[in-house]
Amino acid sequence: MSGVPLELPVRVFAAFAELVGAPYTTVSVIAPATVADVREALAARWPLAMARAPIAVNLEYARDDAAVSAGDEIALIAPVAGG
Amino acid sequence: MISATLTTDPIDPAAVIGAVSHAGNGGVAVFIGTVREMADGRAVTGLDYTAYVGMAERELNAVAHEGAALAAGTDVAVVHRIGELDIGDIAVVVAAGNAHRASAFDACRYVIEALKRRVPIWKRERYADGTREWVGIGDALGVPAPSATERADA
Repeated sequence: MSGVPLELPVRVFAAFAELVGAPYTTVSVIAPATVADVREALAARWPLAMARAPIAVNLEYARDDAAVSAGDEIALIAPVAGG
Repeated sequence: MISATLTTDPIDPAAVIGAVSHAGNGGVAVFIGTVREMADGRAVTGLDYTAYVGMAERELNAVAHEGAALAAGTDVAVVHRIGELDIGDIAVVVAAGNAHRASAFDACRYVIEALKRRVPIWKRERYADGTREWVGIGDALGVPAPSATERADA
């Protein structure tokens, strides 16, 4: 469906979760939407480091041109520090 | 044999090594990552690890398979711990086995480097003065996006 506003939850972790004050934030995009649209919506509200962070869709790193829709698990991956 | 595990329990390196050890593997390379007491000259009392569990398990598994695929007949086992760790605790063990040492070293090195680059695990340092700080973020969160107006509350 085209032109339909979507409210998508975006999971956040670690330092990002601390900044947001919750384990997720919500972005408003218009369907059909892409990861780039999510990024743009994030940039309107959160620091650059968050808007530029890798985004995962359904547990995999996603490119900016990947489609996102209601029901997808979207997550913002703060700079990782495992090991 | 390829295995990748996230755990909240203490890691037994012998079990990880055992998982890639068999009569055909003449070489087993092991990396053990532990919590050290200093970070950038500051005394650390411990590290709190957290993960995006579902994705971290998937990515850790992918990294283990990529490491094993570098040379035929390579076995890889990797275990990463999450939760509150103290100085000296083991955070990660990577073991790689192959008929020959060069391939074992290569796979082991690949897995730990890729893990650090890609697997969604984070750590927060605990300091002697009681404060805590996420590693790898620095002051980046203080920089607003060019289009940011006043930040709304979450």
